[in-house]
Amino acid sequence: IAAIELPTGQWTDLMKTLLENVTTTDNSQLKIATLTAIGFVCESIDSDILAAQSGAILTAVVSGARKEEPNQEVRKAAIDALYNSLEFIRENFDREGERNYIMQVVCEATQSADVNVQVAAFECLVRIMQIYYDKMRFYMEKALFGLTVLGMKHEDERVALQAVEFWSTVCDEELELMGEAAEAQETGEQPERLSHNFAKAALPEILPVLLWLLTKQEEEADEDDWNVAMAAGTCLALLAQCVEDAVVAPVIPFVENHIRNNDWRFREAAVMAFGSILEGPEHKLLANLVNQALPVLIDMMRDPSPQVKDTTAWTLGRVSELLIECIKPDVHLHPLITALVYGLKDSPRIVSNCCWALMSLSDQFGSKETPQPTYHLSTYFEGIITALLETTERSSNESNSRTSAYECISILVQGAALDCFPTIQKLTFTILDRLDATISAQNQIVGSDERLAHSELQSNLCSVLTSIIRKLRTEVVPFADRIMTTLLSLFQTATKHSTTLEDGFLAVGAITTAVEGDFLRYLEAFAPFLYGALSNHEEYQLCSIAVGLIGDICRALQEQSLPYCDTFMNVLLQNLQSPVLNRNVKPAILSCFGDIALAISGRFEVYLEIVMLVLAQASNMRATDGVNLMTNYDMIDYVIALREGILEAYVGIVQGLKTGEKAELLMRYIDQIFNFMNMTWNDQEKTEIIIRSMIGLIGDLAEAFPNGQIKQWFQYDCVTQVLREGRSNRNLPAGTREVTRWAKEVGFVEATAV
Amino acid sequence: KASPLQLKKREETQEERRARALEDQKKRRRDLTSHARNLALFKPSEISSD
Repeated sequence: IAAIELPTGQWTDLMKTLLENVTTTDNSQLKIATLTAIGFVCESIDSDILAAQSGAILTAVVSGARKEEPNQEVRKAAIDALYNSLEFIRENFDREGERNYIMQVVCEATQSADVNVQVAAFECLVRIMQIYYDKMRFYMEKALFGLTVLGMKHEDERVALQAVEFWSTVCDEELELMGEAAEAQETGEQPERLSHNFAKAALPEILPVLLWLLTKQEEEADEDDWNVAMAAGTCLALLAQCVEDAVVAPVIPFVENHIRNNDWRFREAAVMAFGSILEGPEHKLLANLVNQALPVLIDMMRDPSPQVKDTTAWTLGRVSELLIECIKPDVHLHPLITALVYGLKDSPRIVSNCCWALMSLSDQFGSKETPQPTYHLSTYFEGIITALLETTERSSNESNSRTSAYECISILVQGAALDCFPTIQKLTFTILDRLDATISAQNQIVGSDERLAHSELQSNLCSVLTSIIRKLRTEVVPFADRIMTTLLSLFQTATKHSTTLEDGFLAVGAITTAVEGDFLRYLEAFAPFLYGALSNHEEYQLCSIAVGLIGDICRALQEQSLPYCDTFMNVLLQNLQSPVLNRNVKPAILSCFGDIALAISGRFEVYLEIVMLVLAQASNMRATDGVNLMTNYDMIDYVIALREGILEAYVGIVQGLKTGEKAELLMRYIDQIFNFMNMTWNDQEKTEIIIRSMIGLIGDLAEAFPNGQIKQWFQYDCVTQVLREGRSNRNLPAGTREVTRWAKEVGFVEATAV
Repeated sequence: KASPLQLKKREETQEERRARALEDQKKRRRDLTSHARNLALFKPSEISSD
């Protein structure tokens, strides 16, 4: 209620009443409740609103947190309130005297006899480090360093967890500062903030503790649990990225000493330590170590302990992802893949990690674009796919193992070489058979859990199918009938609210690209499902995919899509007007107008007036209300997406009408188009896509009017400026520079000079 | 919080699949318009060579 009323100047005596409660009462329950309320109020409202009272609020909160407070529950409530007020008291924290006092009270609270107070105090320190890193140097040297190292060794895990979190936060902050420094160096500027390199300075003290904590695993830890060993692993990985090479020498003896220990905890900790330092240090420094470790790690995939195998599979995945150059195909690949495939028969957690490692290998060795004739995984491809298919036949999806296995199949297909195509073709039939089986089993589903699992399985299968279609491209044409038959049955039986339809539609989108004009054969049967999805405004994601599919279909059918265009256009225009449909679908609809225009070229004439009106209306959308600065990031993103959609529509329409030799119809709208470009260019919020599309559109217009008919519009400042940006800004991708070159060459000169 | 192992696993979410499809559509749209532009660019030279 305070968050609503205080900003409008109401409930003016609230803080006075709350502060009186804290300072005048002996009732500790009332004090606790009041401190909690103060914390929540401070967290919820802008500090300006209570600026006049911030000193009194801080005094009340800090006085409750002091060591002199006899009631430890009150003290904890006060520290919690301080935690929630940390942003609110920024001005107080900027003043050295007040900051010193706050820090002293929080540091003293870490030494309370009450563990709950200690935990709250450490939580507060974590948050302080996050918000006020720049001001922490003095306190780090005087107290925080020692307190947190001791805290990590605390017998109560809750305290130790927060102390480890403190150092993870230090690393997070310093990694961000490293990024800022690198960015500043690139642009030749000085970074605004500097790193104090706390992590590097603390390395000799905190690293041994972290390694020791790695051995404190729980016997039967659930993967969703969070314990001190996991926290230490996360912290070590961050530390490695932060201090880079310096982490290697002190960690290696720990790995060497414990990797063959009789106790699984030490073996697991050793592998975890090794896996955690693979990102950060120079590859040169790690290469030799990884080379030595690989045979040992591969061997450890047969360790009796599931925890060891799990972490080993993860580490092998890290090696594949981060240091692929260390995996020598002729030496390591055979035993490595054998070990990972063997792991696919293991417990669900190990299956998931083995899948991840196999996916990393596929990403590194494979090619998602034009397939290579052969690649390092070719020899193993069929064996891996067979093993993964066996894994997916398990009845349970525990630890998401089945989903991971299907995902792994998808990734392998995406990266596959040409000599794997026969296996992929065989896989197509297996996947279709499985999809057919799920469709037949649709009526036997009992209960919502089973329905959810069934729908997830269908999504997994459709996702693999989409990868196959995209990979095989024209080679999928002989199976297109069978694929579409299965997909149409799927749409017939799928429930309205499942994601199955979405994944099925994505597969249809892939088919349109593969079969191109032949898609006409399926359109009559598919259209009812498409229209159903387009009018299903509650399921806006599905609706959005359906809008994209219209674009896919038009691209595939070209002028053959003409008989369907009236319906497409009607549905799209209705959707634009819908008050129910999520606004995020609307930019895609605008792009779709461009797709339709490109497909039917001059025949788009009949829709031109209404579409241009819609685009003019969409151009008026602003992210500001004219008074406030842009602060609504969702709105900014939406306006950017809308402008990208508008530009895609204009590009499609200009190109389409030009091809249909009806460019002169655009003359009425040239002012609208250039005013839109001018406004978009002068807005600071513009993306690379916007710049590229604008340049392309300028070129398209120049080409559509080569005889100087619209030359006065090319005198707009925005035209010169955007072309200069496209040519000279080295940060823009090559595609943008290319389109700029094209726009300059393709008659822009003629169009402006005549 | 999740375990470091959990954090490293990869499962493509529905949202990622949608994003990938959208990217693919954008690429195809770009390819098509670039193709048209390239044709336009070469047309004058073809005419002149004739």
